[in-house]
Amino acid sequence: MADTSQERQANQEQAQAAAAETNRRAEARRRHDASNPLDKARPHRLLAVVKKEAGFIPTKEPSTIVHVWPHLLMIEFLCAIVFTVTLFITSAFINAPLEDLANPERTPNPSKAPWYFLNLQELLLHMDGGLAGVIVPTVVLLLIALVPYFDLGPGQMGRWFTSERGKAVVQFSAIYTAFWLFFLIAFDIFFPVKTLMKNLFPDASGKGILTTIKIPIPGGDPTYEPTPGGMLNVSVTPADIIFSNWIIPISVIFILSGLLIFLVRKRFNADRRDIFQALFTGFVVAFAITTVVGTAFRGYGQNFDWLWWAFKRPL
Amino acid sequence: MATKKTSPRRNPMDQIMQASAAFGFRVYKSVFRHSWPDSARTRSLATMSNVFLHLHPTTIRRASLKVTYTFCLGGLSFFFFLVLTVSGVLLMFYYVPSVTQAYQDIKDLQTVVFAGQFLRNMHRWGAHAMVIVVFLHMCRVFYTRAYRPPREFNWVVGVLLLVLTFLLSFSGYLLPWDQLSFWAVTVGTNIAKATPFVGPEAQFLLIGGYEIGQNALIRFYTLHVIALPLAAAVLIAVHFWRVRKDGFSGGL
Ligand code: HEM
Repeated sequence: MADTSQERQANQEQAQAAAAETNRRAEARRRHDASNPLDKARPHRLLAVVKKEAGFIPTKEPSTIVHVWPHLLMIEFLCAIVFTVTLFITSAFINAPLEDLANPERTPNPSKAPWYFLNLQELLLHMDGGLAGVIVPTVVLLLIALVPYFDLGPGQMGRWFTSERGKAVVQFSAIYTAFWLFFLIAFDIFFPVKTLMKNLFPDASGKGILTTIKIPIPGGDPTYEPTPGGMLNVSVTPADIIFSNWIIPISVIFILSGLLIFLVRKRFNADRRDIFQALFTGFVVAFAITTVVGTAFRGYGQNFDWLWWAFKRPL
Repeated sequence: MATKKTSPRRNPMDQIMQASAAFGFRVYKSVFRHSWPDSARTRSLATMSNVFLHLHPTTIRRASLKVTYTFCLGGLSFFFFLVLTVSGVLLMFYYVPSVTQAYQDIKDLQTVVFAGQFLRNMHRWGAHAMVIVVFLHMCRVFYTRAYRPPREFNWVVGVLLLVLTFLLSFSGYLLPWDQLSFWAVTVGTNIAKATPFVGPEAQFLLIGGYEIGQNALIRFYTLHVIALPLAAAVLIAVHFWRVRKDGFSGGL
């Protein structure tokens, strides 16, 4: 009995001590929090007044530090709410398209890839399929990925277009690219380069020269059929196709990029960062224009059609 | 006695209220470990002690918060990724990747499943939005030159994420198995056939045959619901980790 009452008393004392300790800690915390500079509205104070020439002039505002909760999280939260609501409203009123059951026998005209690949499909009309569909996008993506490893010159980070000059370069490049792209697309509509080249390199049958060449197989049996005459049939791309599908488009890309670099250097005295901005802008604008043209203005047989968008296939 | 009975401390209703408030607070504490974030310490804890938020630093330069710097585009890319994951999982409950069933499943979704059309719309428009938003995010990073060392590698991770975003969208395009999806993917995979040297092999690998059919559907489905989202999730994790470790470029 005595033991238990003693124990009880000891327990009580312990509990009291623990409570006191908790209180002490809470008080210490409160004081610590209150003394934290982050809780104070004014993060800087006046130390001295000096003559203008004597002090150094700070280039930046004194940086103020705030807590992520709530300052950043509130922005993220609001942004998520706004876009959730927008997506809900869109989805409530606009239905995703669903056409007839897939039918391999019935090819729609025009047949189009999803809109974000229509830029490539647009290129496909003007050059070789491998060049348009694989080589150009691969090279472009590789070049984009490599930019940071070569843009090592001086200049700031964290400012839109880096400088006023950069902004001017971007505007100029956007107009330059838009002009040339519309020109090229229009040119190919009115003077199809493939036909031009065919006329330039005709052969008797009008198919273009050098379609196949025959190479004698050493020791080959001239009487062997079905590969007649001991000859190896090698098909060679006709010269007109080499020109219209490879040489001309590649040259156009290089010449126009080169000219752009030359012009921004001359006009704006562009540095390396500006040249990268010029080329990247060229890519973005070309991507946008070819996507829009491919989506909205290519109709029957992928021919240019001002009004196709009016009857457009869904996205 | 009478006064004692009506005193608030003894009122059983009040006692229940007090007890449940205390219990509620205990439960809250067991989840969040700190009181409502209104002091420097609890605000730091709010980000530090939360697995979803701890990717953030606890403090940030006020200037970095400028919305006209990021336009929230990176965050929105992630937002759409999450929306697509959730709506995509829900769609999986109804969709069978078989050429005899897929189209009907989509039809059912639009006609008999509760809010099925809405769900499908959300997934469709969300997917288009993600392509646009990720592309714009890349433009934002480029034009603010936010790829400067030490962020070069994160830029490369970003380029991979852009490619993954395109592939995710494209692989999903086939699944409704209507004329639209069938021919869009036929055109798209014909581009793969034009690859120099290995074109036909590349196309065969992609669609498991010489033309779009059941093999292509199951390949695209598997890529779309497992392989590509998993790859994207891993790369997004790397991407966020690097943003955190390399420091954010804004407001310097
Ligand atoms: C699924 C796709 C992507 C997601 C979810 C994503 C997410 C994010 C987020 C949340 C940030 C933090 C800053 C901000 O919001 O701008 C960020 C920064 C960054 N992102 Fe992305 N991103 C994606 C794709 C890309 C792409 C395509 C690129 C470039 C090709 C890229 C390059 C970068 C870089 C270099 C940073 C650091 C920027 C800085 O410090 O200012 N990201 N990303």
